[in-house]
Amino acid sequence: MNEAIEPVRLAGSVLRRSRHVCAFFHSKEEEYRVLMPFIKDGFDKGDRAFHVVDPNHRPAHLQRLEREGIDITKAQASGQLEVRRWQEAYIKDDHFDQYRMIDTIKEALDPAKKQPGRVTRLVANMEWALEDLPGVHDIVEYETRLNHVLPDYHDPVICTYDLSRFDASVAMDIMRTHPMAIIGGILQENPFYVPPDEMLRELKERAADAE
Amino acid sequence: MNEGGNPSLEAASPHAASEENAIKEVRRLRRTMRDLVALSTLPAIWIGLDPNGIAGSLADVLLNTLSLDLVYIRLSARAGEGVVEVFRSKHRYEGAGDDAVRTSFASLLRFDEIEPPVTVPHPFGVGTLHVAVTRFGVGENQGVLVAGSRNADFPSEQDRLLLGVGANQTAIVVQRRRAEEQTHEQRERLRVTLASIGDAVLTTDTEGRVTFLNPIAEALTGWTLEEAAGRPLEAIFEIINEANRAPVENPVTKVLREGKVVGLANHTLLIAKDRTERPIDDSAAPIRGKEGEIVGCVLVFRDISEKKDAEREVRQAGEQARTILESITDAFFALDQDWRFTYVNRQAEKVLDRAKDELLGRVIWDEYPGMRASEFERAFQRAAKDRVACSVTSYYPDHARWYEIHAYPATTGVSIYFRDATEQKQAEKDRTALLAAAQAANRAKDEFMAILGHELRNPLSPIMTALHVLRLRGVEGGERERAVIERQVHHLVRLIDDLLDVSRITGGKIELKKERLEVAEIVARAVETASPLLEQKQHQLVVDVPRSGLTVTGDPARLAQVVSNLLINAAKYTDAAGRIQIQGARRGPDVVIDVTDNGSGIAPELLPRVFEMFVQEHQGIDRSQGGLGLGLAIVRNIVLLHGGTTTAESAGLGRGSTFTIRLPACTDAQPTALAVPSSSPELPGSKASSNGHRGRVLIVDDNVDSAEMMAEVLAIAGYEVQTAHDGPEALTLVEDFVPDIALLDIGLPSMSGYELARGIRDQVPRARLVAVTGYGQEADRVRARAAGFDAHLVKPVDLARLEKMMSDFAIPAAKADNVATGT
Repeated sequence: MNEAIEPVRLAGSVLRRSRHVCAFFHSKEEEYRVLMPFIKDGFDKGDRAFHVVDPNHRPAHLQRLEREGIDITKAQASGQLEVRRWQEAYIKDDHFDQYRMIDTIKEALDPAKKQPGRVTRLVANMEWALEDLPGVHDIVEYETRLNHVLPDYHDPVICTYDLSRFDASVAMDIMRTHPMAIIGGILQENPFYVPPDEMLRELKERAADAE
Repeated sequence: MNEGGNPSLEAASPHAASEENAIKEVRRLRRTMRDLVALSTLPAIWIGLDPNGIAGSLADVLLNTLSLDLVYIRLSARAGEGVVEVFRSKHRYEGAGDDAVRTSFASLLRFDEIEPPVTVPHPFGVGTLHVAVTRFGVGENQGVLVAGSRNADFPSEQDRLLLGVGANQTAIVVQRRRAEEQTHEQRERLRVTLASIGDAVLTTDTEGRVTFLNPIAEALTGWTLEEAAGRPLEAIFEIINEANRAPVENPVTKVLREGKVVGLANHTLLIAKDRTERPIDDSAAPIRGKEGEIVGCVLVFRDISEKKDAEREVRQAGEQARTILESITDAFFALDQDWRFTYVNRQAEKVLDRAKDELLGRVIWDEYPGMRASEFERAFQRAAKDRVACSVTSYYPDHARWYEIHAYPATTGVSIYFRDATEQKQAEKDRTALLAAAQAANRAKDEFMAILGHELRNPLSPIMTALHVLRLRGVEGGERERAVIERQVHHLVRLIDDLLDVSRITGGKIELKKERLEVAEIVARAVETASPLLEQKQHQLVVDVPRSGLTVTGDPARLAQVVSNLLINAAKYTDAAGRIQIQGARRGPDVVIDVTDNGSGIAPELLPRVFEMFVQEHQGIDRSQGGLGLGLAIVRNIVLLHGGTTTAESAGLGRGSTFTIRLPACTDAQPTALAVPSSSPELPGSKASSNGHRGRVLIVDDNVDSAEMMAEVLAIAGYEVQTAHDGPEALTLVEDFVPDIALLDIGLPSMSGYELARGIRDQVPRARLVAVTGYGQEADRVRARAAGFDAHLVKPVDLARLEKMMSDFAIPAAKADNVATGT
């Protein structure tokens, strides 16, 4: 990917090379307050939007987009907007398969699906990991492996977590698997980021310890 | 923590075992390192969590990371917040709760415990727990972390390290969190305070960029805080000079440059976002940090539109007041509390003959020392001190003028309205003089009337006496002519009496001798008086008055005069053979006497004025009714003096009239003493006595006819009579004659009757002295008594009364026919 990287503004800062972001929030309001300008900016610039949402929250999400002046019908028809339920992405067939999901991400970020010179702004709600379904505990490993893939793309990928729902132990690992983090509404480079190979080794050791 | 193990390696060799241990140690260290790094992410994750959430999060992490059975975290209480306690357990214990943990860990939680036990019974009764107690924090942010594990190796050195790191992370974050809360609370309090104050508040950083606007500032500038934050002040706070519209220097720049409080120049306009303008008043001050360094600037400003409007209104009101004060005809000046002139209007300049520039700022007492201790100063002082309006008109000798001043208390000092009252005073003086002159003229008129009565009575007296003598002598022939003369003389006497009555009544000189009276008596006397006229005109008189039981309190003679006047009036204005009715009755609290006739009536336009003096119904050229038009005026005035009223009614000309008098009824049941009228028809003897001299009588009168006629009457009555016509002649005569009685005229030439009386008294002390005069007022009687007279008779002399008086003096008087009218 040798395309020129256009800076993308997010949460009061500029997203540069590393575009895999974990966004920690304490409420939906905070989440939308921080992310909506980023989403809106993308539509204004002609970027593609790929959202993965809680199926129960999908109508409300579409209403919020509409309230921001986004013509969701037209955007969805043109392919500029794609709003998928968890079941259409992470937990297809009622289980989580990290490799399948990585393929889904690649597919979503397929350059053919967006305008030349534009990016796909991917925003994914990660609370599916709290569902009692097979494979959901692989979320940390999945986030880690994604770091092997995403450098091939310029597309920002924002994984949103509600801290009031996630266990701190999980949150700690999630934090360590994203080179960029939004904490307190501010985007920052993540000092706790662990490169994917190292993190995979740790996870492997951890698993071995647990046996 | 299950380290695991490999028996085959242990059995291999010491070197192999050592190598395996080394590998294990490396793995343990790597895991410790990994856990430490993981723990270091916690503060980032804990952003936004409260202390309870933080403690809970730490407990979860430790439970998982160190494979613990129990974790208990307790954060000490602080102001506004209770103790935070969090308990996490690896397994669920049915029915167990925090209290069991708290009880089990009680001995561990005491902070003064130096060496806490390393094991405690499992709180839920399933064996023993190895515990590690980690205390953390400082000040009020103290806490304790108790970790419990069934593992006998717990706590290892690594466990203690991780517990310590986790506890310290917690302490730091909680402390920061609480500091943030405190800061937030302070900011919120400051925000609420700033939002609540009535002035607009705007703050900037040291670069002059807006950091805060309170709602008032938002309203005045038209910018919201969100819009304005970070923008340079000039963009938000655009100010210009009201007069020349030149931009005014940004106050923040000045404050940051000079480091001190600055106020805006006057007449500054703020231009809002929508370009509307409003006058403002403001000040700016530096915001200083702990070290005194300037960290920003605060600008406080307010909309002074209303103040400006109010100032304009005050200014306009002042101009209006000045316009009014300059246009009023009164002179006006104002004094402050130090008695200095603060305002002098144009009229005041004229009246005082001083330019206001000469007076303004000067003390009034210095400029007008004559005002000191004057009525004027008293009025000024009273207005200033007692806060009441005072008016005075007084003479100001320094100007030789009168001034009328009105002093009013003002906010500071007094306001004085004044005018030159000299002309008014002169006019008042003139009026007073005119009034005095009029009163003198009136008195002169009254005196003239009295004299006129006296002078008219004087010639009548001998005429009447002469008629009496003719009758006594029985002179035959000329009876008809004599009757005419008698009738006309009586008429003349009545006219004179009316004139004198009016004069006395209007002069307040009438004296009522009130007594209880039956109305029938009054009417009888009145009928007696009016009879000659009634008979002459052949009127039918119908009297309808109860003989008794209808009583009033009054002067019998005067009330009889009232009724007789009404009867005479009815008789005069009724054609011959008319009908006149007099009725008396009680109506409510009043006694009412109606005199009704079927005569000429009264024209409606005259009816309201019929009781006024000199008012008469229009008369024919022959003036057949005669009179002066005083009768009804006398009626009204006498009735008024008795507390009564008079009314007249008539259906119009030719339709008769009714005159009504109302008098307060006398309700006292005491028997009425019937008064005997002085003009009782009981006549004195008509024939002369021939019983020789009954005494010596001296008559002194300068009217020779009068003296001689009286002498003849008394001579016929049997008295020895001598006459004289002035005082000296009388005194000479007295020496030889030695009179028993002397009848003296008062108005004698060369010597008054009073002097003569004293002279006679000196010579003949026993002589009875009788004043005979036309002056019939009470004062005349008093004066006569003072001069030594024993009695006072009014001309023309009532001979019946003379007879009685003679009898009282024990000198038998001549019997004479009564020719007298009243006294």
